[in-house]
Amino acid sequence: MAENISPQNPSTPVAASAVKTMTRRDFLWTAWVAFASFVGAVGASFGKFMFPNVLYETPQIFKAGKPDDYAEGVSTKWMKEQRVWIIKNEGHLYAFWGRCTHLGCTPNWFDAEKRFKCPCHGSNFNIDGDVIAGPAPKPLNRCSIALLPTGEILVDKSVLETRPGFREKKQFFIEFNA
Amino acid sequence: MDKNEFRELWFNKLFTLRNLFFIFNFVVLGLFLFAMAQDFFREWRPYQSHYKKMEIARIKGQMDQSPAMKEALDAEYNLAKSRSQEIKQILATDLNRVDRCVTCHVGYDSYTNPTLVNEYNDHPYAAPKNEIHAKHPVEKYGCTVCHEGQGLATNFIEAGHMPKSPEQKAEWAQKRDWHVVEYWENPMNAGPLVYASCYKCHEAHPNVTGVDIIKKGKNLAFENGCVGCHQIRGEGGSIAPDLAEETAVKPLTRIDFGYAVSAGVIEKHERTLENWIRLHFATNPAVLTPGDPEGKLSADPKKPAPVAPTAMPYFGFNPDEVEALTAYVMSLKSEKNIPYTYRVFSPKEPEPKFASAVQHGRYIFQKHGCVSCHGKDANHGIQVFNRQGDRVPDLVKTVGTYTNDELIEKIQKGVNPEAKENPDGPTPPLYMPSFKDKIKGEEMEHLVQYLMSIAEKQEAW
Amino acid sequence: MTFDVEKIKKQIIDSPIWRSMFRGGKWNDTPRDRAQHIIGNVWLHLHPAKLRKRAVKFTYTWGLGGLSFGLFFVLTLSGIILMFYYRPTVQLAYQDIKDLEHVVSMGGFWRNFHRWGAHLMVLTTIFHMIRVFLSGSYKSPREFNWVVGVVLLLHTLLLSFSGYLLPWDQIAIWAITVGSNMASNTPVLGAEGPFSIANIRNDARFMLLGGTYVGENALLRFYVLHCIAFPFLAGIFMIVHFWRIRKDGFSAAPLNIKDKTEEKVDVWPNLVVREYLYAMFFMAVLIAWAIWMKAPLEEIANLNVTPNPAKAPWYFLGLQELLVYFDPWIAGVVIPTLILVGLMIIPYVDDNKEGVGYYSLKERPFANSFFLFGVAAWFVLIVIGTYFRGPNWAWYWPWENWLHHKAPPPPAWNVPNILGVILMGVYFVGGTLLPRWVTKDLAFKKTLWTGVGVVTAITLVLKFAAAGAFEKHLGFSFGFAQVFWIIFSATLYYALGFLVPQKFARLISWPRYVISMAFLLMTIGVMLKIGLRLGFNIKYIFHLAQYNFNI
Repeated sequence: MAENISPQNPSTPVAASAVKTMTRRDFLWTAWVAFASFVGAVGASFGKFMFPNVLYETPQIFKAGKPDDYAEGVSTKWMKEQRVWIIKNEGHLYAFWGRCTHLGCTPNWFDAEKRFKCPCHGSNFNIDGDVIAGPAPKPLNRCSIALLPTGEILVDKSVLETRPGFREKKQFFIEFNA
Repeated sequence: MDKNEFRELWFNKLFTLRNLFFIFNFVVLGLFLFAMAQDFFREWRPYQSHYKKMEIARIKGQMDQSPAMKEALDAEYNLAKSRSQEIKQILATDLNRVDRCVTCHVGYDSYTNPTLVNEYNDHPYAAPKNEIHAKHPVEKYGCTVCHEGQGLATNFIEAGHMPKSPEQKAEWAQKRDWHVVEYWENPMNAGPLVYASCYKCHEAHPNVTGVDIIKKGKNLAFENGCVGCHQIRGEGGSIAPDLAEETAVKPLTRIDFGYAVSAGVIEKHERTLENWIRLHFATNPAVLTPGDPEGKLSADPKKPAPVAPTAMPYFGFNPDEVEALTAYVMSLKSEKNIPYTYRVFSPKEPEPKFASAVQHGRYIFQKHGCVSCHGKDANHGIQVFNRQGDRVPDLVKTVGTYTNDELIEKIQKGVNPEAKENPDGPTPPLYMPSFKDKIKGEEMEHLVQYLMSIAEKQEAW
Repeated sequence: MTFDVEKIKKQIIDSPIWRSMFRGGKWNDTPRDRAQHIIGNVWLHLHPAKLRKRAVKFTYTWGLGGLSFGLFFVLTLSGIILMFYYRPTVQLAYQDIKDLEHVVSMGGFWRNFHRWGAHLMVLTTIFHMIRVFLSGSYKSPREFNWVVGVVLLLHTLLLSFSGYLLPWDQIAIWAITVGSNMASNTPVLGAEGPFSIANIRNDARFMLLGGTYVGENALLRFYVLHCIAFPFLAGIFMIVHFWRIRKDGFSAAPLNIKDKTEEKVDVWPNLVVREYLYAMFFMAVLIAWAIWMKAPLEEIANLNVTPNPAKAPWYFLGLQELLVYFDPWIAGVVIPTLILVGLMIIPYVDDNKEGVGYYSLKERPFANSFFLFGVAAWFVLIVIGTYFRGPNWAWYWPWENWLHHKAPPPPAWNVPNILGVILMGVYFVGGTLLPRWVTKDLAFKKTLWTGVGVVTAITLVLKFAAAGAFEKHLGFSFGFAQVFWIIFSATLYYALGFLVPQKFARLISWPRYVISMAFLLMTIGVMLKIGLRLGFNIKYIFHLAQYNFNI
């Protein structure tokens, strides 16, 4: 069989015996594997290519004034610019990210009904952010919130929490004495 | 006619493939030519051709009057004659604006009318006539930075024209099938409302006659103590929305016109921010935001959670005052992208001086908006929904029961929330806010002196 | 001086330049010449020289496939024209569209034409698929071409959807926000999907948008997808689709594949002329539509303000309506995927040899009733989403004013997990086995009406006679909405989920039977879940909130 396979080097027995372990068909098979791997690698690199490594998105942190600037209830003051509600509720202050947990629309606050209603699929949330009607699977996201030494509120939209129990922790919940 | 006859007539005589071939080809051609014509004969063309005609007639008239001028006017005449119809626009790059208003308002176009002076009085042809235009050349400022509206548009309705009077509205509705521009947040500021735009750049009142309306509105806002509940750029009470940062910039989709339309105080197609603000002065705000006092809209009907109507009282302004206040609130809108160099800063107005502590105290009482709830002379509390006793206390009657220190403490702490009249009803929407951080030192002393000075003396027991 | 038109024509046709461009010899209008014309022309040779007479008949094909391609063609043309004035950046896109409307010559017209053409193409493609299904034209040897057709339908929807973002107005950005958030609900790979392993910065949605919200990157991506990637892919699949049509014997599948004697007619002129007429007719419709109606353009996109209501394009409104009843991972990912997979496997599951090449309701009762039910449900949901949903997605009758306030929906509750698992197990396993288990021959109509009667009777007893006992022991009684939903759901399941397969699908091979029943039960299950939500305020049948796995 070796004679058939290595016509290039008929005079070198060493080469002939080495070739013996690898038939031409096997060799073709490995080449196809190489090609397939190449195609796969190109595909993978295209996939990675589609994930941008830097973003030109607006910063997620902003200062939202002092707690005393807010009335009891839901303030829509920052909705237009930052998509955040500041809620003052029975001596506590917290911030909701204005994004419905269903499919990301911006709900509206209806003061007359004391609830947030999402225009896209009709989810309703109460002032604690809990779902009271509609298809949303989770409560509204609370933003990380802190009182600076200047007395101002710092809101960070990149740190979010929905779970009851966790969202009442200090990071998402300011207690103050009105 | 039986079925076969019908088929014979229909398919083999009338709509043969050959006939359809003719019909469809000509229909397609015809429709497309119609589309082209429709595209060509735009609304703005007649204005330009009319202006051209008027210019030619005017120059010709001048030439006929004084033949000596003929030579001199020749160039102007030829220029006017050779002027082609085109879309004209002003690129106010600094202000982020492309304004095509001059396509129809030809008198304002500095190419067609280089001197920006003409003798026409009709609106789309007239040249700018007042001093403000002279100080703000249209080539640099464009139009919409002051007048608002949609500069990109080239037809009447899309441009966002707004009538300045009911008569004009009726006329437009009849002649031009006018309605409020859809899907554009800023329709034009009609009539005196245009002066609301001055404050985008001018911090203080510019010295122009038109801004009187804004001044008047500001005074009214001061006298009625709007800041007692509303903040203006962060200054003032926190009971109600910030007039500058929320009210004056509220997106139309966020405004709930439902109750107002149901109550018939506004037409469905007239929903604009301007009208929303106006309604708060022209009608009882409780009509616009009636709340849910019986808890009918509660999530669980078995456990109703009633909500009080808005706390804003009905002030009963007259129509002039309504306009002035609307213009003032609209003037609070700020525009971020206006460059620094366009802005005119001015120092803060100094506080007025007062001869006596009591007079100063009365000023403080106004300045912090106490008047909005307690009345201008502290003797008339407004009605509050479901508050115990129904009304805000009459200070003339009650202050006398406090000592100075008690009164100071009460002002500093406030009462939040107020006690309910009906325990199952909603929380009263209005409460005495804490003035701890707002009224301090001398201001507080003088305020207390003022209040004590007007208080009814308590009989000694 | 006179012109002999015929002579000049002959000189032109006989000139070497003409001859070099158009193949074929002298034109004598013989059948051979006609065939030569078709075969010798790169554009026309997608047609055979002759075809079965049935295929020419308008009411057989309705010209829908050709029209879909014709619309694709004019959409490409008008799209190329529009691209000259459009810059895909957040600062400029909206202004460019306004310019098209207000200052570009015919800009508004071509925009309207492109917009309405896209809607029309979605319609013709869907109806083309329905036609092919009803005439049994997907059966051997055309199975694979049906699959390619489903892929093309998907591309049509993707093309239309990706174009939706480009005007950069409010409807654009919110339709895409909702649509792309479905990607983040993909199981495992989406940040908000069940059993997620990804976060908001590396999940499927991030890859699609190139960011965490619909912004500059997303606009550019959708632009490239809309203008290059999707047309390119659709073009490739179209080539395959057309080539297969040609090789599989063109439209109107042979009634009997062995029968070679069926009458055939020349494609030129019989078919070519008709195709031309359909195209021109639709051209006229489209131009008239573009003159009559302006393409919508709302306020400039603003991520912080959602229009109320925010509706997806109409062909996705059925899915959007389903989003009310199901979590997004089901309504937005699982159901669309299953619909596509289900459509693709139809030719492989359906081994019924009957009903090929003509409209046949009786020969294929199971396939047709299932398919038509699915199509009807899809369109009913679309109609509900389009005309019956107002602000906050509340139910508004078409004549009601959207400014009036509606009472909010009542609070919903969840079925305990154990009960939910049992219910679903019984439904799917029992539902699959039951029709095969009942081996008796049932008289269809009689059994149907008996069943419906029994269901109605039981429900009415529960509503009226037993109401007192219910009220006493369980603390509730049935309302009329609940009675309606019980009767509707039970009838639907009984007729479509039991009787039809029992009667018509019982004897097919096991794998085909199980696959058919799985899809059938899932389709009915969607309806049953809608009934549970609307009638009984049940939110989830099964819920694992910490894994976002809720059904």
